[in-house]
Amino acid sequence: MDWITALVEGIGVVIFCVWVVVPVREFASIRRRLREENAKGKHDAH
Amino acid sequence: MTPIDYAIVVGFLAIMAVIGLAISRLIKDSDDIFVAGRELTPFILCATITSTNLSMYHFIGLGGIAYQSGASIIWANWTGGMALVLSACFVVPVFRRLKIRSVPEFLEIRYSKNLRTLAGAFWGCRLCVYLGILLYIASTAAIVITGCQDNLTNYVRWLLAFSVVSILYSAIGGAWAVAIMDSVQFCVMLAGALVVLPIAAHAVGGMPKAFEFFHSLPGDTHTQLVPVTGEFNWIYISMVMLLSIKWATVDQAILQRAFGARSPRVAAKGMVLSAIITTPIALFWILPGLAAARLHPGFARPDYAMPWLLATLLPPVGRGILGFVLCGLIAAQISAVTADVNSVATLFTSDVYRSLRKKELSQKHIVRVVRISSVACGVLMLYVAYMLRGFGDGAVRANYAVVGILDMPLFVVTVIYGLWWKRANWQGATAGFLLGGIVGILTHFLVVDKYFVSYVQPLLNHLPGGFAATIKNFHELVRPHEVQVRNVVPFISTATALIVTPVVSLLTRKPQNDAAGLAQAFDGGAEAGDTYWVMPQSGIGKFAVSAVIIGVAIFAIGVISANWAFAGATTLAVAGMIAVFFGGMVRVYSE
Repeated sequence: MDWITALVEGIGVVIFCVWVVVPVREFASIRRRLREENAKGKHDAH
Repeated sequence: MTPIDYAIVVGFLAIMAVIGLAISRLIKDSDDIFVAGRELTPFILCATITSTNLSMYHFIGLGGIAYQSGASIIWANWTGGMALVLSACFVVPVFRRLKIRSVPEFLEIRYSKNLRTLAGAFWGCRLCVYLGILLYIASTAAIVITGCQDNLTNYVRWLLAFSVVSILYSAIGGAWAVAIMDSVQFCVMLAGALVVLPIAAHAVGGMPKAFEFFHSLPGDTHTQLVPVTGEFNWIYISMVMLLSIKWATVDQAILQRAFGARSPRVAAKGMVLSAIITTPIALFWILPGLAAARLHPGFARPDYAMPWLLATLLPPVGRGILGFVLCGLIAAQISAVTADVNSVATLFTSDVYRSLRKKELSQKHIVRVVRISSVACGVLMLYVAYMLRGFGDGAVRANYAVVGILDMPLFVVTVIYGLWWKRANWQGATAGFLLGGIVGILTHFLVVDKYFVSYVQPLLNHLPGGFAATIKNFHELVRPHEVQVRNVVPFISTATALIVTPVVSLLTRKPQNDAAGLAQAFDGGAEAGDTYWVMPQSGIGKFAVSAVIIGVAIFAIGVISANWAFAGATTLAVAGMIAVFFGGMVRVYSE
């Protein structure tokens, strides 16, 4: 593989790995917060 | 294409449909369906903005232009990145703080309800036509890639493959489904792109070898980033920068993703991250386009270059590779379609339907209207795509030209005068919006020979002799420079709106509505525990904004200097772009 292709592929692989991991963690965090808010809302309603 | 490839594609579509439908459980009220409950975080936002921005057109269309004309078409993406940073610094945080759901909603806050309805209807129709074009390009390319027979049945099959799943889950899951699925599809799209480049580079004996070949051809512009001559020269780059700023500041599909951010700063972070990662990603279609030019020069239609490359090079590598890459292309297409369908539904429901209905609507009613309008938009885009098969590429090019011209006046009245000049009123904004579009379209018809002969010349017989002769002389004068002059038409519609809006505003009454809310939106009020000032308060914030502005200036000097064949034009333009990205990153992650 030539150096231009290797450089572009390397950057692409890094972006791919970051965007596989980080959004999953962010979605988990959003889901947890929404659940907590729902539980708090139900508790306040009682 | 083998049965394994088809199985991979069908399996991918089925998985997308199941996940998309599962997300519908998240929908509780209209904010969930319009702006994902305003819960989106920077990396998710970045993925959804990038996926919305990129479609199959980028891989096929822009790759094809790189094949035909050279690498300078990459500025269509790179200027978009700079524009996203500018929008993140100066425009989007204001819109996000106003908690609007659409750009026309801002027009009501700033000008009048009627202008909101007019702009909402215009953008809704424009997006439906654009979606039809996206489907037409994708289905035409899919037929070439898969090698199936080019007939109406196969065309309709591919239309449905690209649209049914996306209509289904954007109608049911709304902005939540768009955000989550875009993040998934971004990775699938990137995985497909990662496969294609090394195979294409290997086929030409490495990209440096291909570049050496182009350098050996006298007068060849394939490797020039800022060429002096040709259709995609420095004038084109200047024009596309202007259009990119418009796109990043008023395009409903892009901004609606940013409106779903948790806070104004998160919106800005998502946009800057998207700008930075799109820059190297653009090479994934430019470099294969150049490889195709080395391998098989001479396609009459450049749109055939990338499908030919995929259909020829991928199957020998391994079974299923073509199906896998096709999934990446479908992912790019679906993510763009879902975001736009969601935007059309928002425009119709929030800006047209709600404005025309007098009484307050229940949340349940709004959600139902959004879902019906999503399906209606889907049907309309399918109809446009079906009709385009008869009209062909000419209609596609005409639409891009017309849209470029008509959108600029909207940018002028929304961003330039809407945000930065209090005296602008609804009369000036409406006149600037309409007149800018009309003058731009008329100029386009006078400049482009094909349109002049077909549409303008027959009308000249009905006009007074002297006037008709003046118009004909003007056309004869600009005809030899049609390609160059055509590029500056968006500047003309912009200039018209820039002049008409203040003149009409000053000749009519001062605006009556109180813009206090807008003034507050420029301040750094805390939201989601975060404060973000549009005008930076700290030293590092001021440094970052200065870097962005200086970067834009260096880029502009570099591009314009190409007119005098300055050897460092490309270096200056790229250095300016890097300065913009650096300033943008420091801006959103500091203070």
